[in-house]
Amino acid sequence: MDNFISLDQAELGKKYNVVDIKASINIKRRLLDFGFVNTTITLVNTSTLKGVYLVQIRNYLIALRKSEVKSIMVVKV
Amino acid sequence: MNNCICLVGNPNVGKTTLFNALTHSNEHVGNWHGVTVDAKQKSILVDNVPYTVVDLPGTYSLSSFSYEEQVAVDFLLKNNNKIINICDANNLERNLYLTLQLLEAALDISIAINFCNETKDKFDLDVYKLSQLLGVGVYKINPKNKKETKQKLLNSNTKVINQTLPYLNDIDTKYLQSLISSRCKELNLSSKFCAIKLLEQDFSILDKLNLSQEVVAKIKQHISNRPQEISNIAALRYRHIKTILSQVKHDKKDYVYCKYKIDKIILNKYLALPIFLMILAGVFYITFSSVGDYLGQFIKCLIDDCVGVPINNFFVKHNVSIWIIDLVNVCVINGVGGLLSFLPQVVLLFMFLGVLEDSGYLSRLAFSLEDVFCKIGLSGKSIFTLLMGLGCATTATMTSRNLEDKNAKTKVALITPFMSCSAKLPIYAVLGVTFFGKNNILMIMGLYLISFVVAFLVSSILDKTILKNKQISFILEFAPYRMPSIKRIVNNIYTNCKQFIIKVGSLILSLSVIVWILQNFDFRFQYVIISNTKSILQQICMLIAPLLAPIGLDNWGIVSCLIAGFVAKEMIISTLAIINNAPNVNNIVSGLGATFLVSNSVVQFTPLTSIVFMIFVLLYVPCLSTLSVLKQELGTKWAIFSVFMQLIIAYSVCLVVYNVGLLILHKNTLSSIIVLMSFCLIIFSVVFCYKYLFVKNKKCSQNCLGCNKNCNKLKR
Repeated sequence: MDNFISLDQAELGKKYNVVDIKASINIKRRLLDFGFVNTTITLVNTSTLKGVYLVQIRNYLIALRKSEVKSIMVVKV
Repeated sequence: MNNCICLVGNPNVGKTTLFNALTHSNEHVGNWHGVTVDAKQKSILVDNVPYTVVDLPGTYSLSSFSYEEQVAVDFLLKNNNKIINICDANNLERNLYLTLQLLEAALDISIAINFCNETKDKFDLDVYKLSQLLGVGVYKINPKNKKETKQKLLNSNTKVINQTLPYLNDIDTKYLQSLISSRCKELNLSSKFCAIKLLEQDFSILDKLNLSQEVVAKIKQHISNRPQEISNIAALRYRHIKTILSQVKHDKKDYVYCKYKIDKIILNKYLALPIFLMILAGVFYITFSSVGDYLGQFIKCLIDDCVGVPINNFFVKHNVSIWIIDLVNVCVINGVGGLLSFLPQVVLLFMFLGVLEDSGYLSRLAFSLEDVFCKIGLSGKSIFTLLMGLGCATTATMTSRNLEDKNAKTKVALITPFMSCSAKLPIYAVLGVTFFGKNNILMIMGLYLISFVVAFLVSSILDKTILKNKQISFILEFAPYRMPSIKRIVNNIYTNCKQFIIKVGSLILSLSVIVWILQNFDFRFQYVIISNTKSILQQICMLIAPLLAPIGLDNWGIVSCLIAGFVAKEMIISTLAIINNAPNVNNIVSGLGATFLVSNSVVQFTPLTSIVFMIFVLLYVPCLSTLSVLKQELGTKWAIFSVFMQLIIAYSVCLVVYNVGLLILHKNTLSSIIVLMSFCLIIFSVVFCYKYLFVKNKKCSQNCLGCNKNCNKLKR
């Protein structure tokens, strides 16, 4: 359990596995709709003030705000 | 209802493009998520059979997240229609997630796969096999080829092989189904589907089912014991999709959808904003300074030589009474004809906005601007609405609907009218050229800058006071870069030309005539030039004019322009032309502009008052059509609020500008000290208020896991 980190602490360009989402139910469901489950993800880019993160998941790109990114627990592949 | 066909799919997969192709309509499309915000219907005949095609807003799943998704989901579950589920071939995995949910709901669907031409060199797709695995018809479509698309989708009679989705057996819904099955049958919904939705904790379905409280309590109890089920279901669906895709999709090379090398520059931390500003500057330069200007002069010459001169000759020949000559010359040829000469600029602006919208750049822009926008209580997505506001505030306000948070939506809708819409262009062109000559373009950019700054300030003040943002989420999918199609651009130009000409020809023309009559007749309906009395317009507006004295615009002519501009902003310049009785020369800019400098015309400007006037026009009240959209989107209360808010803001900004301007121009020590001091006081109080409110809203700096911003650390 110790090597879980939230996605905002992940390194850019490295692969991670999604483990869990710790968000309110609506946001959790939406993130699940986008496929944030049992898959690898990569941080591609962040915005200037690190308010938004660009995430590569299931072969497409999606931008998430820091609050969502924080709720996504990942483990390094 | 007769044969009804719904178009459903993820956002930005080309639903509206397909809708346009099927029904030969001309609905707005764009390379951006959430262009369509409401269900649109149109009836068509196919082999003499009537069909109603319904274009729904895009949705990612059958559990809605924003208002426009709710529209789509409600429509799907309410009516038992034939559904065409459109999937983007580039992103099949995620698109099929919605497909599976549609299948779970036992809806009658067929699948249309779009953008297959883009994926040809990336992978081969076995459509037949996919159709077998899902048990529904699957077709590759290309909306550009209208006939073939129609043939494929409407005439297809594929038999639905009743495939059950294998993973459904892994979801235990027996207990829930037993509770709701009777109600589901009445509503014609699949009980398995409803049970799954409940396990996903989507309680909107409970409202539909309208169960007794006892049952609801039982259901909630059951669900709360199974919090893991929601991830489980999503995982099962995605696993099923993976198994299907492994059989039908044969990859030729590795790729990531929407990932481009150029994004390294466009999304670069330091370059993103300058690139955007450069693009904007380029657009304005071409629209106002070079191309737009020349084309405008050309059109004005055309109108004068082909319409004005022959009509006048005709009048002279037939001895028509003097006031009719005057009416036609001033209203029709100078007022309305003059406005038409701005057609090229309006069209160019819309064209550039269309290109921006189609290119896929907007979603990157939303990403880069999110940081800044978040600070002022907006979502990065609102850049779409704001940019559209540069074209027309009315249509732009409507697009604010795709924002998930209601407060954020209200804020965006309220500040969109501050954006300088295309109808305000003629004013800047006439006044700017007259008083600033070649520095006109700088002046115009300054005005745009003011509009942005005011909009952002208003938004941040609203955010700190009455419209606090909830912890809103920002989930934005990237759109691919696509070459804007020439056909779309031509189409865009054509529709905007048509709209502009119709508006100017009908609304503006008739209003101009009314203004002219009010301006040229007194209360006893005598022609003022002959009777030498005060006109109706003059008498009414003179009552209001003193109110504008502090900002240097105490002139009944200006008041009447402003009142007319409330109906439509295009009216301002044509009213000015009527009131000042602008001479009929080849160029409205120099013709009307010259009258502002002549001492015997009604409305005169100095460079300072011209700036004040432009700023006032830029910021004061939204036009009537925008107001009606505001009322429809936010309610009467907010619509009235927006009028007063804008009036107050316009007035105070102008007050500052005018007095500071006076100060610079006339170096009167006493008054300058007073003005300077009050100016400092205003700035100080604004900063103080802002800081006080800002500190009050300070967020918790500790990033605890699973923080819900409610803990004691925050209260301390």
